[in-house]
Amino acid sequence: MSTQTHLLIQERASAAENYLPQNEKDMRLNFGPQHPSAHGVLRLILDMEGEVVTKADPHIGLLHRGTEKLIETKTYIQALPYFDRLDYVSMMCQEHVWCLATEKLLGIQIPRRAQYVRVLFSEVTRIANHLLWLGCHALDIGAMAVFLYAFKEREFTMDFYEEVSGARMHANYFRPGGVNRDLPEGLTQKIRDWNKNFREKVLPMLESLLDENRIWKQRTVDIGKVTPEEAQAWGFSGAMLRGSGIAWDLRKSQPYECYAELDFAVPVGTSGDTYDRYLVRMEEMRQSTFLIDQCLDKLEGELKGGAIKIQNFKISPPPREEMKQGMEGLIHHFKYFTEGFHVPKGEIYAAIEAPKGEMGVYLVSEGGPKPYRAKIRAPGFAHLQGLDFMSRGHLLADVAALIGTQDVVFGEIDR
Amino acid sequence: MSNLAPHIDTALDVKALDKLKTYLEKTYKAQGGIVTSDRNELTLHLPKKSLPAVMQTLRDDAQTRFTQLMDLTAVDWLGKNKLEERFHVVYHLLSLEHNLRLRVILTTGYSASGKAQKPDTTLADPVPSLQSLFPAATWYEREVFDMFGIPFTDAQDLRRILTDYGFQGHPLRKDFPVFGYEEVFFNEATSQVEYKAVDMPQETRFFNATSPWEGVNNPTPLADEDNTFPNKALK
Repeated sequence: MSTQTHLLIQERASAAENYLPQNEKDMRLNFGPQHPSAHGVLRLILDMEGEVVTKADPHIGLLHRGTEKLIETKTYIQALPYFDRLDYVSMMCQEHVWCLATEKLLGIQIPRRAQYVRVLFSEVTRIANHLLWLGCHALDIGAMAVFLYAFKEREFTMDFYEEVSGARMHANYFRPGGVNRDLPEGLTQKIRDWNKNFREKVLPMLESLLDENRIWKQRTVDIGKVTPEEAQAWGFSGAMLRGSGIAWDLRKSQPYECYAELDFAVPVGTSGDTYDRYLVRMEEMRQSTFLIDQCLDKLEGELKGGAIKIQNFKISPPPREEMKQGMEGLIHHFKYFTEGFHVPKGEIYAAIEAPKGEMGVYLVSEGGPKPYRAKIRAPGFAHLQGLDFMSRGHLLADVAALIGTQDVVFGEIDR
Repeated sequence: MSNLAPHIDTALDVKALDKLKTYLEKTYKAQGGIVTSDRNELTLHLPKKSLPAVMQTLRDDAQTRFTQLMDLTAVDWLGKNKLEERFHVVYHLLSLEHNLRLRVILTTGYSASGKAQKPDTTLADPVPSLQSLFPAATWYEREVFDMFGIPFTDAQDLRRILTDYGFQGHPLRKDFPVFGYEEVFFNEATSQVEYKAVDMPQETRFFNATSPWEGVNNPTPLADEDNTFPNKALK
């Protein structure tokens, strides 16, 4: 065995070796990274006193791919697909934040139709994300049926992804300057039908499975309570903040795209426990269906046939015909896909209300076609950090409920 | 403020931002704070030593109430800044009460230049830790320490966070190669996951397609119409 390997094993073991139990009930438990309710690759070192958690130390980084370093070597459009792979259950929302950051630096405005297409798919994505969260959260706690119903419905949102971008998950559909291509014919009607069914049949059915379920309430009420002060101090955002009674939603307070023109409500919890966050997310799904309807009305109505990306072909690729027939179109097409576009010097922070909370990008440009530095602010990173204070005094079985309520996904936490 | 893209921050309160700017300039001048604004974002540049005091007043002052530390990161300006000011440490604050954001930047670097080694494990000069003010800073500071090798004084917990156990070097520094120095592989003979030095059969090629054309420097407000070819109407 080489010295390197030896060192590695020593460090891995040190978490256990430095541990001195105070009495015979104390133990240190290694939870994950292969545990099914660790939601991927979370390694939790739990200090226990019998079955009660006294300290939780999450070890993250097992899915670290160096996204930020890689982005520094790529052009702005080449960096976009990395964002699908951050939070891989709410793909288009992640693309959105990168597009907004780039557009803010460029100082450009995108067409109205593109804004509505983006919001439409952001909300479809929010539902897709919450469905996965709901299914896995319930499964962790022991409700098998919810998982099956939620995933069946999630398949439809994947189908919409496929129809619009060709890919079921890693869509690469939002682009700086708009979206990649227009909605295919008939898609708006399909989304409308599904949306109506989801709001009127599926969502009440999912709620009827859990809302008044005795076991569900025993496992979630008063579990993982977060006060408003704690939520702010630990940098929580999204449903983790709203569950604690703080009415804060970036779509309302710092609206981007066309959210200021749309009508929706922000659900807020009262007690800050796992059950309240469950209720908040369920209501968010209902609000998303209203938003989808409003977007569809606009897209089928006054915005029908409008441009879906900025018509400046130094920032977006020209139409295929123009590329085939015109010299200028060909040059633009070639330069766009090889060199990319130059972005003025500066630094900005753009944030969106992703399904999990505030997703932000701090983007530094030194001019030229590649970013100098891009920092991704993932909501799950801040939330998982709070797992320690949230789990203290709870039972081991509640840790699974807490990981579920935080809605952690390791793609975005480890980056 | 002219280069604001209207679909981003559609309801931004520019007046409140200007008010905050003058307030910050007045309040933190004594501590060496310089306020700049660009693209409707405020940045407060601070000397390292006044950071904890200023952060505390930013958080507790009724005029600002920046109660949330949303992000903490660093930028490596190797070759662009002097070595003493090599790193920018960047804080992003959010005030829920006033619905405002603020960026705080301070610089750090090396007081004495170490011997260049690969990977470079020399740590930069320490920066005051904010863990007692904002508990959220804990993991962010660990990440900056891990990725940039910037230590934080009085930090309760300063272990590596994202890289592997026993990792050497600080990957987000500009002098750290994208491919790294070591790679892992599964050794069939020993049935162990082991490390070996990265073996590149060919030198890395960086394709540089950059042209002298400087791209978009002015906002292009005509988003729905073709504004690439100004003479198109004449054709």
